[in-house]
Amino acid sequence: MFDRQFHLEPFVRFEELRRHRPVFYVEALDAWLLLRHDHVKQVLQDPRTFSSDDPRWHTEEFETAPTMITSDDPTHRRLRALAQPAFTPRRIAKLATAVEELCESILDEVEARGDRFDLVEAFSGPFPAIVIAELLGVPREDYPRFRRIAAQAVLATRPEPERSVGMRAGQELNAYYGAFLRERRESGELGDDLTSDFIRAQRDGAECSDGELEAMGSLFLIAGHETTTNLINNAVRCLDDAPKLRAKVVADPDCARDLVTEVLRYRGPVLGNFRFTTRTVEIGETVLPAGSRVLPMLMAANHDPNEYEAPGEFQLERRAKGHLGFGRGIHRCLGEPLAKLEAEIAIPALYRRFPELRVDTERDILPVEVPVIHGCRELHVRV
Amino acid sequence: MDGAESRPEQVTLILEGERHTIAVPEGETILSAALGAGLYVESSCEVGDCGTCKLRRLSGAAEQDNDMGLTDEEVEAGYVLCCVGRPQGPGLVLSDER
Ligand code: HEM
Ligand code: FES
Repeated sequence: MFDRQFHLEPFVRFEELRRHRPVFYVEALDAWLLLRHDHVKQVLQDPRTFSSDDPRWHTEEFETAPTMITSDDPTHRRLRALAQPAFTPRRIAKLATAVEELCESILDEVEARGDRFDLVEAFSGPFPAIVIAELLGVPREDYPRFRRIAAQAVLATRPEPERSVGMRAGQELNAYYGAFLRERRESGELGDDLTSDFIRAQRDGAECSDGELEAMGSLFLIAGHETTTNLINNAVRCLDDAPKLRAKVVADPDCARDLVTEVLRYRGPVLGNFRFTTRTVEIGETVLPAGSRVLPMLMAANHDPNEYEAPGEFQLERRAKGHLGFGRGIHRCLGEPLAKLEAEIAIPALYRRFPELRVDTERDILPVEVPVIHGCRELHVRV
Repeated sequence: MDGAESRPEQVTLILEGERHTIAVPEGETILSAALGAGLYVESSCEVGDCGTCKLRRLSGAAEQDNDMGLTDEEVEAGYVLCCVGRPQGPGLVLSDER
């Protein structure tokens, strides 16, 4: 099921499965894939029945502190509350100018590369990675290092033996951020970044352990760029099939918001995320016992014809309501305002700089091959 | 909140094109009253920080303790965060049309 062809065009495979077996057990993942919009919503809206605290993440070898994305309330709520104030739409909007400047300065470097390059290496990778580095206060020169570790860490969602490789990378990332956090705390030099916010919150008596802060920083280093990198990549793939839209993006940057919304629906970078049942539960006609693992497929839900007309068509003006690209419910993406800001800046800026940009058909697109992400490891383009 | 009415205020919610009228008692948020009435309004942080629960105000008045979950333009356009929002007097109508 999860071969390279699947990862390049997942919705094509989902289409047939949704019709015949919308609740579909995948042995390699020991998980039930869910492909209907109503089923996926059912799971995300009921975190008591569908826990994010999968026992798979607790092994003796790789025991780490909980993060908000792998825990249930009240732990989830407590951890999320520490970071939520930094990610409000109001505060994120203030970053616009700095993010625009960074984007243009990276594009200046991209221009020097000539007329063919790997977009991931040149632009869509570094741009969000540097944004999240600056937000956390970690040195921006470190981004190649944490990009490499983060790319390995997502392998934890694959079956063994990759799972262990991923778990180990996750620990390496915790250690990297942990060392930075300790250094910051000891030096006492606090600034206007999230790490300083964490240290201040802890000093002011917020209930959180050092291990939890380490794991939170490490979660941000992963969640904060891999996804946005692929939102940019996926937008380029969507626009490649649509010359009129490319021209519109250059002429009318105001359409960026609608464009990003439709990319999130049509080729959202997060395919889905695992949940674990705490009781016997029915999904459609399938009865799952307590202790079952499910993988609600956001992308499959976003292409459900019961929810969206002509779901296989990329329509700029669709403004899909209720798309699940950022999830739903208590775990809905914390970084949504930041991700939107970055993408709404980056995509028009890229096409303004390179109006002729096209995917290089002489090179293969190398997809990210993990069951929770839809994106590219390499996306070669011609300008 | 001197002089606030003690009886519940009626609030109209237009969700997916359907009108529903709910009673929001003193001290309760629009979100909790809506959920209590069996309606679904999407929410996430439930403290006014994320913006997930925003609805557009078509008429009437609302107050909210925290509006960090809205941008300045959204405040201007009359959005209300249901998780921290309460009606201010009768006639509040909110819609999920963006
Ligand atoms: C296009 C970019 C992004 C997409 C599509 C995306 C998507 C998602 C999705 C679907 C979830 C829910 C996971 C679940 O239900 O288990 C999620 C959670 C999360 N995302 Fe994002 N994300 C993006 C960017 C970001 C960024 C830039 C950050 C910045 C730090 C971020 C931080 C988080 C965190 C911390 C959570 C966990 C929230 C919780 O458990 O309460 N994401 N994201
Ligand atoms: S649910 Fe987050 S602002 Fe209301």
